[in-house]
Amino acid sequence: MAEPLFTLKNLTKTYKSGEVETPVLRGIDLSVEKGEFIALMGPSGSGKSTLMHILGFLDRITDGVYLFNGKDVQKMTDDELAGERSREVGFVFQAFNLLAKSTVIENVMLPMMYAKIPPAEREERAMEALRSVGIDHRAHYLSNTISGGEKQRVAIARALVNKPSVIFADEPTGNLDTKSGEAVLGIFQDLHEKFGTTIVMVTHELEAAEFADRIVRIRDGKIESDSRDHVKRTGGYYK
Amino acid sequence: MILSDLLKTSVTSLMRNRSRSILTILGIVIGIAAVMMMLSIGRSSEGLILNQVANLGSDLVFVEASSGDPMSGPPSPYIEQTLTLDDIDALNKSGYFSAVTGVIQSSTPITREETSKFVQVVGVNEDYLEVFPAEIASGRFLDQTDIQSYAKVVVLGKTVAEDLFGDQDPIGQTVKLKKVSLKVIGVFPELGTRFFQNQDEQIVVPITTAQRDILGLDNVTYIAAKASGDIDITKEEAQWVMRDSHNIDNPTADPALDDFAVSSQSDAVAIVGIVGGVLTILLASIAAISLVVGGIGIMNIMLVSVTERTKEIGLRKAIGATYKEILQQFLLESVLLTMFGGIIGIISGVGFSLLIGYIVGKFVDGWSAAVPLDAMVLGVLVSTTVGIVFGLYPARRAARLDPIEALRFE
Repeated sequence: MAEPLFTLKNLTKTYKSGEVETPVLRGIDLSVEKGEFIALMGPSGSGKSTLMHILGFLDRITDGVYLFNGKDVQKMTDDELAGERSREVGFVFQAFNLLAKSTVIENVMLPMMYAKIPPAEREERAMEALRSVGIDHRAHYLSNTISGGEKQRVAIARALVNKPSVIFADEPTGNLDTKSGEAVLGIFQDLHEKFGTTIVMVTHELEAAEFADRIVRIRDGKIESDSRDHVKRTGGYYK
Repeated sequence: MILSDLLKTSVTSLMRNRSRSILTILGIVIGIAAVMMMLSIGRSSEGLILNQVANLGSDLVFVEASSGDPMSGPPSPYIEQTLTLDDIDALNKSGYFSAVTGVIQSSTPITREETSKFVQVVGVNEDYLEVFPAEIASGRFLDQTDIQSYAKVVVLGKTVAEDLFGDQDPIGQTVKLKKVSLKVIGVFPELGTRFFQNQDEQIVVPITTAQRDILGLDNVTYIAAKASGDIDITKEEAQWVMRDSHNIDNPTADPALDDFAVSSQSDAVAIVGIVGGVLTILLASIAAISLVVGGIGIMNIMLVSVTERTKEIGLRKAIGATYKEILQQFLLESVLLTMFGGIIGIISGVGFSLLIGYIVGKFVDGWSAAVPLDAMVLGVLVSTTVGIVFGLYPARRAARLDPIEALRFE
């Protein structure tokens, strides 16, 4: 069996605010293989977002072990973490987080700047990413002039453009209507099936989670269930 | 992040807030422009003074009444006027000088028939033209006999002659000065200004006549002498001659014991240099204050900009920007602002200096607008430094933002 992409062993995360300690994650054991499409579910305050931030190198663990591709993430410096974010992961946020006054293609080219991709290659790669989510016709629109569903597709293109090992999506359909939401979920499914992209999606909607292969439920900082036996939903953009 | 990306990112964000950027750099623009103008005016006037001093000739020695300290500045009316005609004789006899003249000056009205005007009356002796070389346009200058005989004669400056006599030949005519009738024996050609005095508005009379008949004094304002040998030795010897003449017992040559001061052109140059130095320090302090004020303005706006763009910073960090890359981006923004401000300031400062030079040059002979090249280079360096110093704090704040918090910021 192949090396897991993520391995978490008895991982804990505690926030300290003065004297008050708030445990958010209380011993998580999880491993994720390359090419999985996994949904992290749980009510708000369950720790699912914190877990995603830790997996995405945005936050550090308090105790336990986090191995990424066999490397101990705890031992990495801040700059090394930034490097991992640049090369290995792509983020899709609930609020899209596009630079409003930049064009769509400029937004998609942004991560390549930090990944030190030669400027000559950037435009073509950005167009390719936009094509793969079907939004290339909006390439030169200002990103605050397109619809929410379109924005989220641009955000997915931005997450894809550095060819990361994994895409993290934090409530990606939270700001979208049902139709656009399903289209976005369809894109994830498609990327997963066609290109074998690993996807970790945080959501509190079961309907959204059912697009994934595997659903991990978190409650009160612990894994409540981890199953693949739901009826998988399909649909969306390409279907 | 490669340099071209960094530049493009910073320039793009500055251009998005164009009017804010322009207002922000106004402080730096005005500061640098003011420094350029003040330096230019300072240097122009210093150049003008040094030019005047240099025109006097480097072999002149001046003796004036003084409290003793040669650095105490110009003679004050409260200082006892101790110089006399005997001092002139003593200096003459010492053999260190090829020419010695006393000078006594006063402002007096001069009258001819119905016409009257205020002039500067200057009492001198026959060596005057050797000390301060000048030609005579017509007639003759004072001679030894005129001095010794208290002759009632006068040599007119060009403007005075024109105002009183118009087209007539003034030689042999009579003018009145405080009820004393003086015969015109000569007229100067156009001499222009020396030491900020218009010599064409002067009249020259024998020093003896000036003392006894016109001004009723027995001292002289100052003595000017032309050294025949080395200027520094002559200056030194002149002091001993003067001490001897004034019966001052001062074997240690303590200037505080003397009632006179001997100076030369090089002393005047040194004083101008000191004055210039003090002025430069003063201007530099004003400049420093204005640049600090400008810098605080930059810091303020950069802090606002960091807060406004918290979410953008969070995003950049999430997609892989390092601490250093965010720091560089914001630091470059403030440096670009101040550098640009500095360049605009220099251009406008030079422009105004030239304009001022042009206007002043119409009224003051020998004024030329100085464009301080070293100050231009310094201006760019200083404004860039201001950008780094005052941009560092906001840039560090941006770079230190926690990406998760920043992304949640509303």
